[in-house]
Amino acid sequence: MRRFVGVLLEFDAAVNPEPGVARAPTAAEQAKALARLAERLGGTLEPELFIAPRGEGLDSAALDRLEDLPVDGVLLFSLDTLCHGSRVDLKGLRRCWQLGGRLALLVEDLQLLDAAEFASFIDFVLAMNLVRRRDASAAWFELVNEIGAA
Amino acid sequence: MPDLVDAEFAQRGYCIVPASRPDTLHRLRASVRDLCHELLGLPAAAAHDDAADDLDQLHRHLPDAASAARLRNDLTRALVERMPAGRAVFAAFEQWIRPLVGNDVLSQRVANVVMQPPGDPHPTELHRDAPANSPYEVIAWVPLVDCYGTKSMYLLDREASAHALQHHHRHPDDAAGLQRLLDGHAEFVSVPFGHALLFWSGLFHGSVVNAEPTTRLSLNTRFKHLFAPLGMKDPFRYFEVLETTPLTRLGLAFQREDE
Repeated sequence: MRRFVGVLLEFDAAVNPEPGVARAPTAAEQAKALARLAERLGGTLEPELFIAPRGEGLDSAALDRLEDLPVDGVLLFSLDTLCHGSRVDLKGLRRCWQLGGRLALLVEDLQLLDAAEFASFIDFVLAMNLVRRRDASAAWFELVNEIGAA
Repeated sequence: MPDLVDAEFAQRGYCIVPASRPDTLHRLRASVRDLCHELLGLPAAAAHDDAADDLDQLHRHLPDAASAARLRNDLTRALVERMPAGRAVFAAFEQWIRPLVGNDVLSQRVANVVMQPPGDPHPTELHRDAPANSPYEVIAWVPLVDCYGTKSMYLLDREASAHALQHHHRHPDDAAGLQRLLDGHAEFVSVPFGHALLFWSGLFHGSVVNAEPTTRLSLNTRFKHLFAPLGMKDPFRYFEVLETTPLTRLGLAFQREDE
């Protein structure tokens, strides 16, 4: 039986994640969904869960701790768990993958279970990071940060 | 660039194009028919049976709007699990889509299925995709049966869409005025099976209650260039990479080492 570690997303209180859905899922609800995903992948979810703040993603200390766990793969509630602002932390994504060669993203409905799939996904992420970096000005990021801090 | 795209799409924001690989489209339609039969618990169709007629007559197995909605949802899920409809649409209409989006192509991951039995009370309201979608997307609307009159969809061309938008900005509460503009400029497109309507995401479009005697069944899916500006939709949920050029692959490999 494979062992998976889960990473939850800490939503802002006001976030409405989908049209028609009144509130963001709680940590317990996310954990339950990840446990079901682990089961579908032939394994179980480890009791120790990580929580990534939305917009900040897992920090390197959390990634260090995660890498110490004897698990077979990582289940991310969403790719947002590795996003700094609008950009995906590619190093963090690689570290999650290298932990067991199995990485699944619940919201995006993606399961990366071999190296070729992961390499293709990394290219997609890299391209989107480039597009987002190109299309957002420094002034916009500054404004977003001000709003976020307010 | 093929004339249809160059002359019509550029000017009006849409064009109706024949499949460059009709065999791919026929296979897609036969697969959709087989899935519908399976989901409805009907006997499997023989290979020689007329898929067009089977799909045209789907309403005979759908007693109410709820059962049509259920089949539509089940079919959408089944397509995701069993066949990449976006890839099939791209392959069937590649000759026309490629000149619009280029050679590094993103494809919508889950093709939308639209099923409107005669009299179905849920047509698609007037809207445009961009925003929130990127204005650099093309929508491929692919009927699996012959679509005409109210069984089809309507759209406002580029100029009429600009007028409608201007009217809405100036008179946001004037629904009657917008409706008059729509009545004057909306074009109901006739798209026979074997063809696709390609239209720009900035065009207003919608549908009305299907008053024809047969069922409308169509797919719609979107394509854009990998490096074109994004809309507000999350690209990782909405798109997948369909193909990249050798040059792009080299560039990405180069940057990957840098990151």
